[in-house]
Amino acid sequence: MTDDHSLIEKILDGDRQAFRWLVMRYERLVGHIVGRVIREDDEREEVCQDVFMKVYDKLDTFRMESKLSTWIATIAYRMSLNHIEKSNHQTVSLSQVRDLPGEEKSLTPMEHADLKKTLEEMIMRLPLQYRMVITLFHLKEHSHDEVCQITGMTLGTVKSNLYRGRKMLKEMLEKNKALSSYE
Amino acid sequence: MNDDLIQKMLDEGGELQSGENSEIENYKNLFRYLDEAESFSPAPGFAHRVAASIDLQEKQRSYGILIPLIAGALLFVVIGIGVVAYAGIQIDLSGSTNMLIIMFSIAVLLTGAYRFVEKRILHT
Repeated sequence: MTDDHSLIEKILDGDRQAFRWLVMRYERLVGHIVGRVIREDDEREEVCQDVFMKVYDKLDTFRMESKLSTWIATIAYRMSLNHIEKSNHQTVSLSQVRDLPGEEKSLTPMEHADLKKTLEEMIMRLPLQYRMVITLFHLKEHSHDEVCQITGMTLGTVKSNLYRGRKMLKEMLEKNKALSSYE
Repeated sequence: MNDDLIQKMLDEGGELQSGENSEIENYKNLFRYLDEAESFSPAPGFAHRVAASIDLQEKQRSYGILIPLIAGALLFVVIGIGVVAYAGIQIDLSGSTNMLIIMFSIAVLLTGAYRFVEKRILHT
C-alpha cells in the first residue's frame, strides 16, 4: 500500500484509482466522525460523500504540514457541524443529559446483542463537544494536539471534555447496568 | 483512586488491578467499548460511488464552462472586429515577418493567460 504522500501525488496527476484507495483508507475515520454528529443513516452517507468530494477538490491545497488523516478529520468534523446547523437538528444540552437515564427510569434488561446499540445510544446522548473529543481520541489515530487541531479547542478544553465526557458516560451506563455487562 | 487518576492511568496504558474496585472495572469496560466502537460505516462500494459522483461533477463542470467560453470567444472576436473597423487599422500579413511574429506572440500570451485562469479559477 502506498504512503499518503505518493497517494496524493497520484491523485493530483488524475489517477482516479488512487483516489478510490484514499477513500477506502479513510472511510472508517470519516464515517465514525460523521456518525457521531449526525443521527440519520441516509444523511450520514450523504455527508461522508460530500466530505470526500471536498477532500478531492481541496487536495491541491494540502501542504503535508499535518497528517492527512488529521486534515480529513477536520473537514469531516466541520462539514458535519455545518450539516446539523443547516438542518437545524437539536443537539442535547448538558442539563438534558443529566436528566436523561436517571435513577427513576432505567432501561429494560437487554440481550447482549443489544448492548452495543444501547451504549452507542448513550454516547449519542452526550453533549456534542464531549462526544466529538471522545470519538476522535478513542479512534487511536489522533493525539491530544491533533484533536485540538481538528476541533479548534484548546488543549485544556480537550482534556477536560474528554475527562468529563467519559465520566458522564460511565455514570449514565452504570445507572443502566450496561457497563458491567459489557465484555 | 478517583476518576481522574483512573482515566489517566488507562490513557497511559498503566496496569490497574480491576478486582479491587468496581469503578476501575467499569472504566476498563468503557475504554474497551470506546476503542472498539464504530458509529457508522458507509455501505460497501462507497469509494466507487464517490468516484462516480466526482466524474459526474467534473462532466457537469466542463459543460457548464463551455457556454461562457464560447460566449467569451465570440465577444472577443466581435470587439476585435469593432476595434479594427473603428480605428481603421489595416492588417496585411503578406510579406510582413514582424507582423506575423507579433500576432504569434499575442496568441502565445492569450493561451498562457487562458491556461493560468483555467488552473487557478475554473478548476476549483
